[in-house]
Amino acid sequence: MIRLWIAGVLLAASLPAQLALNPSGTITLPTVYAPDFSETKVNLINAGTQSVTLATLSIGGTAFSIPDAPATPRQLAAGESLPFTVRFTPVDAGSFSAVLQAGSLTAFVLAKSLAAPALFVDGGPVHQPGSVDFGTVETGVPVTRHFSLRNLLRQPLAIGILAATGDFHLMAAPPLPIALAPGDSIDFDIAAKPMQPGAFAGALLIDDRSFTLSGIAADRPPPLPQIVFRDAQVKSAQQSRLSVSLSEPARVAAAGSVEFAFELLTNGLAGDPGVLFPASGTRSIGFTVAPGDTLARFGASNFADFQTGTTSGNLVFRIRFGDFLDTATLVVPPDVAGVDQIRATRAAAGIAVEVIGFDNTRSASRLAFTFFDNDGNTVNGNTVNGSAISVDATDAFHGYFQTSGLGGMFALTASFPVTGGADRIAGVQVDLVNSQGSAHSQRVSFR
Amino acid sequence: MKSRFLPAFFCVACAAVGQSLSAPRAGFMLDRSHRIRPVFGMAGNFVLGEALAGEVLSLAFSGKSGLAKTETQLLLLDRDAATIQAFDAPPGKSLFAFHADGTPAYCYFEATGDLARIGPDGLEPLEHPVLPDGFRLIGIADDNGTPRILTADSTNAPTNAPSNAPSNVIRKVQQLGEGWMQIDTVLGTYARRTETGAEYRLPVPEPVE
Repeated sequence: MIRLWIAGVLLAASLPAQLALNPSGTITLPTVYAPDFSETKVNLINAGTQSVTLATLSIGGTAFSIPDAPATPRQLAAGESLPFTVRFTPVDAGSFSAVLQAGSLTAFVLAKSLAAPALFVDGGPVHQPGSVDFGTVETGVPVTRHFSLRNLLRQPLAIGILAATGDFHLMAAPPLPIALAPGDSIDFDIAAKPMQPGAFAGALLIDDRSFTLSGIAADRPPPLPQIVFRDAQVKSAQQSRLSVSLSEPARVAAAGSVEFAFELLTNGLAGDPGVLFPASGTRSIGFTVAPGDTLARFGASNFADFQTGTTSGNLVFRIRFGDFLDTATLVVPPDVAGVDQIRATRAAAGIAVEVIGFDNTRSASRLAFTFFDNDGNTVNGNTVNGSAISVDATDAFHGYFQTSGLGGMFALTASFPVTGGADRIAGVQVDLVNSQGSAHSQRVSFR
Repeated sequence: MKSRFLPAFFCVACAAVGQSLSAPRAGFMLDRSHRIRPVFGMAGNFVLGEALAGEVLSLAFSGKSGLAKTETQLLLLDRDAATIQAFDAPPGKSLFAFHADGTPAYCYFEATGDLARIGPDGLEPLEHPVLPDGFRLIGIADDNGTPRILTADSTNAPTNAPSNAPSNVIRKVQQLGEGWMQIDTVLGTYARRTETGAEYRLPVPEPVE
């Protein structure tokens, strides 16, 4: 019984006829430039009907190796295939051979190597057939990688061709031909500046070797714009100013716009045509940026003036820059009436006072005129130190604002018949009341 | 309490106040289509009105009257830009001056270099003045009736150079209306208050049609 068991074991271990190599016989690896490497796949197949124990798998010679050799002994089931790699890594030029041993099977392995300098990119080796990926870069921005060629062989080398093709160009390369003694190296850069988004490609040619160069160009998101107001708070009848700052210097030329809408705080009022950019005459103004700009350009200026109008409300600014859209709001608060100018004139029949101003609530109601003589005393009616002449103009203002179409602006002319001595009336002051209170003008002299 | 009577009597009719409310008009200017447009507004807030007469090459307003130059005529305008009189005139653009009271005073014809006094009977040619190069405005006539010729870079012309615009970018200076000058520069159009020198941007007239 014991004899039978021993015989079975011997039978299983000694059935080389069941194992086969593919390819078999002589295996020739691709010619390679030393010290690059070449590889070939080999299959060890158990073609029998019983499992087989593989005792060893090895290859001789210093230039050859099996990088993925399985641990042995290894059992191969009937019909099982065991793939492995034979690698050829010459350290010099020449012809090489070795014996591949798979259990009791043997095969001859042949390989040839040519002399060439080794290629390194940013310090790392690049083997043939190799490629160098420049990665994803920004459109319009130069990208450079550092290359070196080293003679790792024991013989001198000569390089007759060194060139970059396609979207790439060579930088700081030594003149050709290049002689490299054993241990010597040369350094150079390869650069690309893709101007359009998408793939860019080329090749590095070193004599009869070619290495693929590639990369992807993508547009960088434009810098983020921000509206910067000169005045944090605004009021009516004001020309204020804004600029557009960029989060970083612009890399490419671009254009955008700033628009603003006017939201009335009081229902029922008509709009205000005074809310606009004077430079465009509208509520929209375009801007441009050039490479390097950190401020947008509005024509020849880095700012845009805008009018706040003469009606209380919200000025809602919207900036558009590429796909970016943002808003910023300034509030024009309700206020007492504003008096811009008073013209007081004498005429044959009396005196006239013209008041140019605005009421951003359009709620003006009462007017009061206070007259002064040459000594600065108040003169009203026919008395000195009298009270102001008051007029209820609520309906008049209401009717005017309903139809004027000019926001809160108005010009009011009040005529005062004077009987004798009009030339002794030297000045006038006007008070104007609206929903926010009373506005007092400065005293104005008659002309 | 001291009280004394003055020989003056004031009477204000409340209803009259309503009738005297109107749009504040700073003056008139030309748009890019050579049409006269009223400029409504005040310091810090200007609005252009609807276009009026067209084919005007040059325009100036004193507030009380206006002067307009077409290709072949000089037009005297009233305070609302309506034509009062028309005179045959040399072709091309003109510069204008007004008397201190706002009545028309002088016209300078740029193409011929002729200077004329504007009177009720028409244009009265004057001796050819010596004008400095690059002048932009004939200003308000002085007390002697002599037109003050202001230049863009003249040191005696404080009203014709905006403080925030170098003089070499000024294209033209003219009267916009009573108390307002219009200054056209390569940077934009400004309204300058004559009294204070304060400046404001004027809205750009609509583009050429």
